[in-house]
Amino acid sequence: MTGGLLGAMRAVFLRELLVFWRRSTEVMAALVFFVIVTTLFPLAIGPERRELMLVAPGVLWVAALLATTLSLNHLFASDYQDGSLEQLLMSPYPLSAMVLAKIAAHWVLTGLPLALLSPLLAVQMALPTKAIGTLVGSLLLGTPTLTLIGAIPAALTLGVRGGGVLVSLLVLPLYTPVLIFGAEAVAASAGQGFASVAHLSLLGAFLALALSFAPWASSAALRVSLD
Amino acid sequence: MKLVHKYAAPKRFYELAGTLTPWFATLTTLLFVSGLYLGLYWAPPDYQQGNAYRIMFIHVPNAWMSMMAYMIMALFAAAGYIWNIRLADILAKVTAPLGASFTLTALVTGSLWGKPMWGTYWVWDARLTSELVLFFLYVGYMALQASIDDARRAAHASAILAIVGVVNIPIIHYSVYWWHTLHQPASLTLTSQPKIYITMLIPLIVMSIGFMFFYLTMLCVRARNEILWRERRADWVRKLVESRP
Amino acid sequence: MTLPAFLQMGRFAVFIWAAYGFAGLMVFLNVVQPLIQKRRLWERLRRNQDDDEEDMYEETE
Repeated sequence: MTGGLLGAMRAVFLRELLVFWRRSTEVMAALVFFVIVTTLFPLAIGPERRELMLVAPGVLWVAALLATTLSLNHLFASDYQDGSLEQLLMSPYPLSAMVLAKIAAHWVLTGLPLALLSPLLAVQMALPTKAIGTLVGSLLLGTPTLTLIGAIPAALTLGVRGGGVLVSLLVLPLYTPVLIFGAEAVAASAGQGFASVAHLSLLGAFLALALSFAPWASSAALRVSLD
Repeated sequence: MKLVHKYAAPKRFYELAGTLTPWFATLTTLLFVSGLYLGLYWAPPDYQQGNAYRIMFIHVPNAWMSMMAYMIMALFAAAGYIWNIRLADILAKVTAPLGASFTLTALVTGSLWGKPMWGTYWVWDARLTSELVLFFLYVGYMALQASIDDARRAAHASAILAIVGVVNIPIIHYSVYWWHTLHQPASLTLTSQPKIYITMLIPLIVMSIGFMFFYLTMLCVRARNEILWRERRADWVRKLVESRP
Repeated sequence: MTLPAFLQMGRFAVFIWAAYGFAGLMVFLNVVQPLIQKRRLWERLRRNQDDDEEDMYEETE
């Protein structure tokens, strides 16, 4: 039966990848948003490298967080409209596992490219080279947590008026711990070099917590929304 | 469980809350009046902060109540979600605006206390920062409640949000405290006096119990409104309305 | 203590009275808002028992 479950999860995962890939403009939108927002900061602050370096960890992390939030609207919305979400509810496998597969696919197409693209923007923001590894690592650990937590409000606001803005309102306060430790990890490694291990392991702990809690909560949320 | 269902019937609670409200209201008034007397007049000025510390008597009770109200709200919401108790849904819903107002009061009085102590109205003090995040959580909860028309779905959706919030609050709280100590190791935080005197403690306790009863009073009043509205097509409400023209 | 001295509260009068004033205002609003809501609710219940409007605040705002 476990093989069946994993098989079903893989099927959902691959289907999601394909569907998201077909709507690649939406996937790209989050990425482009990330790039544009980080580009705006030097224009607002000034090209002084020392000043940019000071704010770089925070700017990069806030931009990544906002880009993730922006992409949350596409997580369930189209499946909700075309009815395939209700089919998912009917499936014999636990809904939380299916939701986890969906979230994983979503992250592969939004969070992962975002983390891979970040070194380029780090250079733009005058982040020291030694901190770039930590930046990518913290984003690789942090963005899945953001997507996992964000799936809950995304599921809660399905078909609700003003859904898009509401999702950001609901999700941003919940993001504060990830933001604090993510940006702090980058700042720490830009300063002394190795102090970031503790922050990264805390980000890992958040990810583990979110993995155990969020799929269950968002499937409960989906059941409420589709009731 | 049978007893719970007996009193959880909205009609029964409507009557019970009706009899309790005047008692709660009287108690609240007495506690507020004596708390104000004790806090503003009876307690002597602090040798370090002068009279400014008197803001504590409203800041701290409101900060406590803001967190307690969130816990209460989440408990009611969870009970309503798990056991389908309509009264619990109602109590969770009407707790939210009260909790948000406690949070707002804690924020404003905290920043008014910060001005004489730190010289600025806003410092990213750990307590103030986590109160701010808590305020956003309340706003989100109320926005979600308001944007869903169906009462049952609104209750269940916001219940999930409240439970997620409760799991997150300790994490947010400790993250903010850790973040604060990292950036301002030696700064003075509100309510971290070296010693709290008995003359400070008494008004503080009186005011805290006062705000607790204020919450209970307003919970009853608001819950009665909500029950009356939701049950407007029920026989007992029709009879009640006819009996009081 | 004389009344002016009491009102002055050392040198922190502005902050203390602003804080207590704000708290008082919030308590006042918290009391008044549900009472207004209650009055309008009763008016509405008396007027029309078979009200189909879904929103309690429809006419109160």
